[in-house]
Amino acid sequence: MEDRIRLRLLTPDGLGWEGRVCSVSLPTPEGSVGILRGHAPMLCAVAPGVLRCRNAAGETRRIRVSEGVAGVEKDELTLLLQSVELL
Amino acid sequence: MVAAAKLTKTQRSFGALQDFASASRGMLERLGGAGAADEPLLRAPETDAKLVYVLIVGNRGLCGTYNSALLKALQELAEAERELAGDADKEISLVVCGRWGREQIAALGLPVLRRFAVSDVPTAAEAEEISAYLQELYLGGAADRIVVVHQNFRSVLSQIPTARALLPLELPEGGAAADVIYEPDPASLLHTLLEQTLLGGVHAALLEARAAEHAARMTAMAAASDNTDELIAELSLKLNHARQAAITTEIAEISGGAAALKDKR
Repeated sequence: MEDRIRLRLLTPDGLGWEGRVCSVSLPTPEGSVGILRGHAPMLCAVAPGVLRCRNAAGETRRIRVSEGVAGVEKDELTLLLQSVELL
Repeated sequence: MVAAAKLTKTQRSFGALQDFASASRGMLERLGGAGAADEPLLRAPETDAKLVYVLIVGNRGLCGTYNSALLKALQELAEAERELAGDADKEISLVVCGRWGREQIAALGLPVLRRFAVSDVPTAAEAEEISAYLQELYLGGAADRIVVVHQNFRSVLSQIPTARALLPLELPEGGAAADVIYEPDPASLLHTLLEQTLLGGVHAALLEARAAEHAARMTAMAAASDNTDELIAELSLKLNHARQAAITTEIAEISGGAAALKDKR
C-alpha cells in the first residue's frame, strides 16, 4: 500500500509530528478507530492514549497523545491536541 | 540583548499557535453550528452585570510606559462600561497575569479575583491554568462577560493597549460541510473545540502581551544607554573644563608669587 494519508499532529506549542503514512489507529472515547486512505470525511474526539501509524515500508510509530479532536478530509488527518509525545 | 532573544522566542511560539488556531477554526467551520443549541460557552447570559477583565501586565518595570499606559486604558474602559450601564448594576473585577504593580493595580479600586504568574515566554500549560479558571468563573455564574486587556505588539517601537472579548465565544461563519461523520456527537466535539479556542485565545493574548513587553524593554534600554552616552560626554567635558581652570589658577599663583619674590630682591 502507498503512503496516501498525510498525518499532522498540532499542539499549541507547534507541530508535534507530521508524516505520510498508510494506516492510522486512533484512540477515541469509544475505542480505537482505524483510518485508511479514502476514509469518509469525519470529525472525531480523541481520547488520551497511544496513536499507532504505519507506513508502506511496514514501520510502525507509536505516539502518546492527549485529549483532543481529529478531522479527516481528503486523505488528510489532522489532530488538534494539547500535547504529543513520541514513543 | 536578553529582551531581543526573548522577543524572538515569543514570536516563534506565536507563529506555532496561529497554525493550531487556524486548524481549530477550520474544524469549527466544518461543524457549522451543529450541536450549538445547548453549548454554555456560546450562550450569552441574560444579564450583563458581572464583567471580568483579564489584565496582562509585565513581569518587571523598566519598559517605558508599557504598564502605566495599559492601566490608563483599563481605567478608561471600566469608566466607559459604567457609563454605558447607567443606573444598572455593574460589578467589574480583575484577574491579573504578571508580577508588576501590585500597588498600582490596587489603586484602581477594582477587586482582584486572582493573580497568575506568567513566565517571560508563556507556555501552553500556563495558558491552560488561566483558561480553566476563566471557564469556571463563567460557567459558575461569577462572570457574565470576560474581556482580556493587554498591550499588543505592533512593532518593536510601538505597542497599543487592546481589549478583546474572551467569553462568551462566537462561532466562526460558515456552513456545515455535507456528509461528515461525527464521532461521538457534534455537541461534545463542539465543546472540546470551543475549549481549545478559549485556551488559544488566552495563550495568544499572553504571547502578544509578552512580545510587546520585550519590545518595549528593548526600546527603553536602548534609549537609556543612548542617554548615558550623552551624559558621559557632557560630564567629561565639564571635568576637563574644571581641571583646566584649576591648572590655570595654580600657574597664575605660582608666577605671581615668583614675580613678588623677584621684586623684594
